Amino acid sequence: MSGPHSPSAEITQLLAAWKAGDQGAFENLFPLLYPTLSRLANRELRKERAGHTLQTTALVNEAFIELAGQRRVQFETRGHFLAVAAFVMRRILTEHARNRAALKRGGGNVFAVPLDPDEIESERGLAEVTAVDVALDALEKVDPRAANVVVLRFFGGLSHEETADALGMSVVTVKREWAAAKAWLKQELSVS
Amino acid sequence: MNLPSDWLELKRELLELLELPETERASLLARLQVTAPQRAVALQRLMADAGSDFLETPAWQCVEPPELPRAAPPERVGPWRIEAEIGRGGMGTVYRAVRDDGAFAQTVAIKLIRPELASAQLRRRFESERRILASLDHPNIARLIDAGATAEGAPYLVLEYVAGRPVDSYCDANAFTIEQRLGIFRQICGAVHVAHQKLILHRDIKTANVLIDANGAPKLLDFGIAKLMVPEVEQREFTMLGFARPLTPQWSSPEQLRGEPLSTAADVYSLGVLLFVLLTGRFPHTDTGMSPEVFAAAIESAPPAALRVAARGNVPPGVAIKRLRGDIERIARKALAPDLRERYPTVAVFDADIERLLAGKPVEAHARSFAYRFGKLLLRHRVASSAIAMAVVGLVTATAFSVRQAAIAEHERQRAERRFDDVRRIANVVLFDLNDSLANISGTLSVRQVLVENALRYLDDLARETGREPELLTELAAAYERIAEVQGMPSWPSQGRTGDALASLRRALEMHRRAAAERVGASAPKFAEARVLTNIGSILAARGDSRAAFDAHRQSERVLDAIPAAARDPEWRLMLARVQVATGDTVWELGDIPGAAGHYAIALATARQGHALFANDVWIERQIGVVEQRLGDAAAAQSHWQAARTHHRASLAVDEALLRRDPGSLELQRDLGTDWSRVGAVAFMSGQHKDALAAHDQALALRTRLALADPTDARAQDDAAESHVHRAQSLAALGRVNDARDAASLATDGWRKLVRQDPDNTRLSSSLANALAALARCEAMAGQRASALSRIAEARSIRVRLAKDHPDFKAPPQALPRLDELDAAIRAGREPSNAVFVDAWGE
Repeated sequence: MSGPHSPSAEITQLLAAWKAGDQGAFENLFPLLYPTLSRLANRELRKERAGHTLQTTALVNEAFIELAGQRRVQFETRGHFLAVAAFVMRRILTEHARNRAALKRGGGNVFAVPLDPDEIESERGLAEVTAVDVALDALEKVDPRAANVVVLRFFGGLSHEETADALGMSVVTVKREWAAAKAWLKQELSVS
Repeated sequence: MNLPSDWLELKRELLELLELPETERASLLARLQVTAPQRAVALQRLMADAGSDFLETPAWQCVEPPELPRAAPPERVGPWRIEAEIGRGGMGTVYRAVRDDGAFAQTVAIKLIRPELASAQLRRRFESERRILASLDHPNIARLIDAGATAEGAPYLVLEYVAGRPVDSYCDANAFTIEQRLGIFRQICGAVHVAHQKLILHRDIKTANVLIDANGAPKLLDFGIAKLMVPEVEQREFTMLGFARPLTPQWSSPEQLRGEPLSTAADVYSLGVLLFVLLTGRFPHTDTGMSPEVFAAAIESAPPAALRVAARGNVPPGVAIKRLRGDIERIARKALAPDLRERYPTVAVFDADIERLLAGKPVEAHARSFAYRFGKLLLRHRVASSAIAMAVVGLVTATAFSVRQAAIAEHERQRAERRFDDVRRIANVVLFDLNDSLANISGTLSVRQVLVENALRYLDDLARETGREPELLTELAAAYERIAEVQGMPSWPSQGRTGDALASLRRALEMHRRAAAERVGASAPKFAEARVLTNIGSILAARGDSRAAFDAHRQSERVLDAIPAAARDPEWRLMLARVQVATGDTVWELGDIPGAAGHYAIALATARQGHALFANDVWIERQIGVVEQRLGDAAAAQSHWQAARTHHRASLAVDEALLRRDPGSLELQRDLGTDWSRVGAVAFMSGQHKDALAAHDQALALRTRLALADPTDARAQDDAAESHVHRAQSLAALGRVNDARDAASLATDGWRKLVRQDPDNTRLSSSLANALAALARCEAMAGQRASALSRIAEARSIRVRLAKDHPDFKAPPQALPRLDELDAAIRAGREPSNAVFVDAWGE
């Protein structure tokens, strides 16, 4: 099914509107990408790790191929697709981290303390993701540009170059924003 | 510490500082310490954080499940003392160990399953790996030495320890020439081929698993993810355990990357990668951390990797780059073809091509017809059975050769007997299990024929050696029956060599009769004789010799009649009813439809009698439905619409009753759909268009459900499309032009999709042409003349192409004239005649 009202055609229109500066279009894009990415991400996260680590970009590429399989999404909007996908991934990964942490705490047993170093490492990772998510909300208020770069780099797993392409910035600017955002977030997290 | 509220200002300063050279930055900070000490401290911290690792690990990796904890290596496993860990896989860990019980010291590799994973299921897997390895005794495969379980119950394997280096670095270190590299490579092919003959895939062929030992011989290691190609259940276990995903994407075929069932061609691909690496020092395709599916898609869309381009600037020592072209290039390309149709189907073929290359003979990589057919089967039906097929061709050949040799040598008599049983067993597997599983797969005929004819030849040899053993005669006769199916049984996908099929069946008949003479009074050979006779009748009918066919069926009926009452079991009834139906069919062919109806009536009586005696026999009950359907067809052919309706309804009632007892049966649901479709067709023919529409609605509902239940079921999609076109006809007759057009359009969409999937299927193309004609007619009625004319043009081009590409395809003779008539009517603005486009009784 790929009629004029199929999700992918809608995504094309919305991406075009977003490119033209319509922020409302972004709000509408989010729910279109969420189900596909969420399904793909959960598929990967359920797997036991067997040596090779999947990259976020690979996941997003897969989602892109799935959603744009019929080539209804114009190619020049791919960068924008990646950007929206990064925002969606932020939601998915934060939800996943919160759920996993809740699961680990399990049936009210607050005294369950992990003893295995790998286990501790994994808990730290989960905590970091949720903490960054909260701090990022604050950064968005004072410096939305820098916050966007964090979403794409940290949650979207994009490289400097891909981030630059998606946000329409130069690579140098992305690197600067990234450095500043890291500094701000680290300070914010060490305070709280 | 708190960040100052003027973040953007601070950020500007921070970024300025970061861009300054080290010395200037230090002096600026020193000045700031004096003028604004608080700000200087803040900036210093920010600078440190900006350059830290913080956030450099993407969120994805942070939330990923942790790797399973490492267990401390045990000190001893059985009589073996662990020296060091040398590898780690999904299932467990591999250690180097020695046996030091004084007498001798032997170094081995021990594969130990993770104790925490030692479930019963995994233990079974491990056990099967032990069996795999125990059956593989080859100089180029690391040998299994021992197996057991630790005190904790964790199973382990003890393998030959190969102290050597990976094949690529060994070749490079010795500056091996292309010929020397190919020589080593062929030895590896030999080892993989032997494994394939035992129905074992390696699935993880890579340089790290091919070590060169002290004698310069390659050793294939790690059958850790190797598996038997047979049971599907086990494949699922693999998937659940995460074994199905390749650990090393760059060595994996696209089908393996996608996690699909694998055949020997998957190992061919990995060997192709190995060859590529040995010759160029690079991979044909580089994995950049994408998901396996995306990597598979990338391989498929990339142009074939060229050896010379890959080797440029990186030529392995000893390799003459200017020679990496021509046949060697073609061979590598054929082994690495992402499309199974183009890849070497087996390692033996691949290896033989390299042998020809080394001998300066023309290589197979040019020709593609056999591989094309063979590969095509695998592509369409990625099922385990096809993988077995590939291996068994080799297996049968190899084993049968040894049986003859062994039989000659008297002193090896015992061994010969064992081999004899082996061959017999294998031949039977090929003839029965395999042939049946391949029967429904289009495009497998040449494979089936090779298999069956090979098996037959070996059985023939055996029969010559043993003489008149009735059991063997029966087996041999059954083999001839099977080969007849492949050669040209009607209603089977067959090669249309009906003359050969007839000859095979006559030989089968003769052997069944000989067996009957050896076992006087036994009814089984009589049954077989009747079965063969009626099959001979069916072939004769298909060849147009209806008179002889009639005689054969009557002869069969007489043989059945002679079977004593005591042996008349449900099977006897069923066969008799079937023979009677077949007799009726030949009478119909002779032009006597009322006479045919008479035979069908007799068959109905037989089936009903059988049903009364054996009420629980589902097959007999189904046969009642079949006979009712025939009676309905006969009535319809005589325009006895009322009778046709009654019989088709009766057939429908039988199928509904069966379905109520077995609601899950897809086959019965399909039968019921056919019943409704015929009821609808009869209603349409007798002018009751409303009833026709209602019946086709029923058929469509069933068929749509089947199509949705299994989107890969082409037959269900085909049936659903047929119902759409029937609905279109009924709707058009009722004057509901727009609805009719929509239905015809759905039919067209359905068949268009099917034709895309299976472009060689002539019947589907023909159906599409019919649907297009129906759509054209509906569009013309709705006033859309231009669109209607373009549909006719498309239908016409399909018909023309069919006639050109498939001269032996018998299209309905009126198909093209009807299109012309329709075209003329639309151009003249006339109402097109109400022609029936899809014959409910098939073309």
